[in-house]
Amino acid sequence: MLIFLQQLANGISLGALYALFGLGFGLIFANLGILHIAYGTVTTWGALFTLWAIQGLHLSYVAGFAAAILGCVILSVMIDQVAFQPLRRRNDEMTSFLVASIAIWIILGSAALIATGARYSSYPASSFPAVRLNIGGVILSWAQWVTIMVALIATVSLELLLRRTPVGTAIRAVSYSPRAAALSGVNTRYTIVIIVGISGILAGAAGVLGGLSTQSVSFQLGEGLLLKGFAAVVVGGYGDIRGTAIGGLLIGLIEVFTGQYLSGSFSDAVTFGLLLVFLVYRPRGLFGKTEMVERA
Amino acid sequence: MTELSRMAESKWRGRRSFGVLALLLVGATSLSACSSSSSSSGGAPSTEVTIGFIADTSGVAASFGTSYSNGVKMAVKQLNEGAYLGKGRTIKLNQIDEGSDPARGVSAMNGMINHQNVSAVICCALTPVAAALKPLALKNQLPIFIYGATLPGLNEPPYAYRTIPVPVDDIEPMVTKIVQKLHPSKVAFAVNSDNDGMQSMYKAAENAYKVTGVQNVGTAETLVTDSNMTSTADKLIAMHPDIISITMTGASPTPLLSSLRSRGFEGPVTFQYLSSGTVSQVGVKAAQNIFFPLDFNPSSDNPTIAKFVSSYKAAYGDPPDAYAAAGYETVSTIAEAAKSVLDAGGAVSRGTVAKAASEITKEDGTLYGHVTFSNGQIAIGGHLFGTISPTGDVEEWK
Repeated sequence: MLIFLQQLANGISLGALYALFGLGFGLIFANLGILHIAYGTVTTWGALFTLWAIQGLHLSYVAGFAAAILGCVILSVMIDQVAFQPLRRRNDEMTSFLVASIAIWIILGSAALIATGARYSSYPASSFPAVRLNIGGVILSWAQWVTIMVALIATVSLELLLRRTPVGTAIRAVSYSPRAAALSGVNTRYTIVIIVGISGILAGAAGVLGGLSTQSVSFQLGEGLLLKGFAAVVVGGYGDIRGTAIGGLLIGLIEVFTGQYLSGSFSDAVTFGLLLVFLVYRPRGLFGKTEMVERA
Repeated sequence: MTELSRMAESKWRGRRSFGVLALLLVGATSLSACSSSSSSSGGAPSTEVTIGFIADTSGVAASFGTSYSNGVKMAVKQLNEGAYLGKGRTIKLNQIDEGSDPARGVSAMNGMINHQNVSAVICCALTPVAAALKPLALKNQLPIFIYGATLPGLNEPPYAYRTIPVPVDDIEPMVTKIVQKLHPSKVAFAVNSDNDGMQSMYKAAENAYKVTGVQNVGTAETLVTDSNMTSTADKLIAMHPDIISITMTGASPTPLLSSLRSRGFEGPVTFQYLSSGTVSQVGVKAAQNIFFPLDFNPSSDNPTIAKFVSSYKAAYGDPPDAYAAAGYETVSTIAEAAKSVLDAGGAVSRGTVAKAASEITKEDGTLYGHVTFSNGQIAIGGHLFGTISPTGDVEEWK
């Protein structure tokens, strides 16, 4: 029973990481219509920014975390303005954005490989609190419970931002119809930058927490998150914040329990089998809206 | 049309099915960032001996593929600086990265086959890549020297050689020593299920423990690309083993050790290989009580090894690991074959290098000490095992 509860905690923690990634990935997809597959590499860079801040500049983990957030926001906005904005101006189709994202992915991925020398590193153990929660024998490391808390805060904050604030109203308006939003006085380009910036914040957080959770920071860190984050978005429902969070948790739990009770060899097969089932039988996911699927 | 309306049109015009998008995403992520370097074109002067190098400097094997690559490059540099082949004769490396991907490896190998100046090819950190390239080498009579790839039977002279000791040969002696010195009664295993080489070593270890009467309490299987090892560590610890045997490649062995230690497992852990970055990644404390084969001993006072270690540190910052040594030795073996051809007044070609390599039966002064070659497979005398000292250095486990 204890191992079941322990793996339940591990699954929730892993799922929280997927959810955090999926929130940023889904935000861009649902609101800008871009299948941004370079998003995983942005996450990788977030982890690297923190690594360099802590190892090179000897900053605290809080400052390192802030460096990842700031770096990823800047990187995300640069990608959008350099690669995607010209396509919007040229009235290009969705496929063009996908190709541009692939190009960015390869460029940033190669740059990360060169910057790290293909070496795997980890955050110095002394730079993060070595606190462990022990709840009736179930152990949660500092990285695990921080990941859960950050994912929870991000989900609630994003939901409140989109539903209860003028900025959220503008984002939803631009998402639904940029032209109508502009006619209503919304600065669409500014709103798009805000969307991209928020996705950058989430990428930075996912990168740092991914590096902490796996205890490994490498040029490939974000690649592993990409498909799982995408699966979280598909399972949860496009454009639904709560759905993405629940989808991420579901993916994490399935992955961990498959490894525990079946075999780690089947984790990916089961996860992506589930993804396939949703794509075929319920493309709008658990909570997504039908019109979102039709638009995309 | 205004920019705004164009944007609106653009956003909603593409009515693609999610199935297609998912396939695009999955297909796209199977690509990996590619890199290649120093590709030479035809027309190389006859004083150059060109060696093709199909490297693993990206993809899942990049973390240790880079060590192999560093060793290969260092050997070429030192052999050229020392005029090993004779005055005015140099070794030229024709390198391309295969991204730890058999399909890209085959493409790179075909390029080498068509490049007539290439006299031999060095390759393969991973078994799947080596297994894909070896048939091409045999068919096209281009000598291939495999520096990694743990599956037995990849050697087949005169066109296929393996220049590292067969790792599975270390397993039985290591298990015997562990049982004699540590007296474990229960063992648990962690293994990559998607790598033939790891599977063969795992089965050898499982059998060796069985023979010694140690109880097998279970196995945790992972994939080479898995990175989050927390749940795997918890699964292993829940089996209550006295010792954990890790037979994994890729990026996951080190995070697994880190997770085991952070979840409270302080017992002995064995590895088949130890990457140079493991200790710095997990910390000296977590790296205590681990054991691994030490075919290459960087702390040896052997002058050849000491020189290699100091040169490597100077060039790359880190001490060399077994992968770097394997890369270095592979070039040395090819160079020895080429030198014997040249010293006999012959011309270096694929056929002459293959023939000369097949005639090498022993080498002295290597990074492994005295070695012998049998049927294209290097063998070292005796089995050494390593551990990590309290100061974080690799040392022989005596």
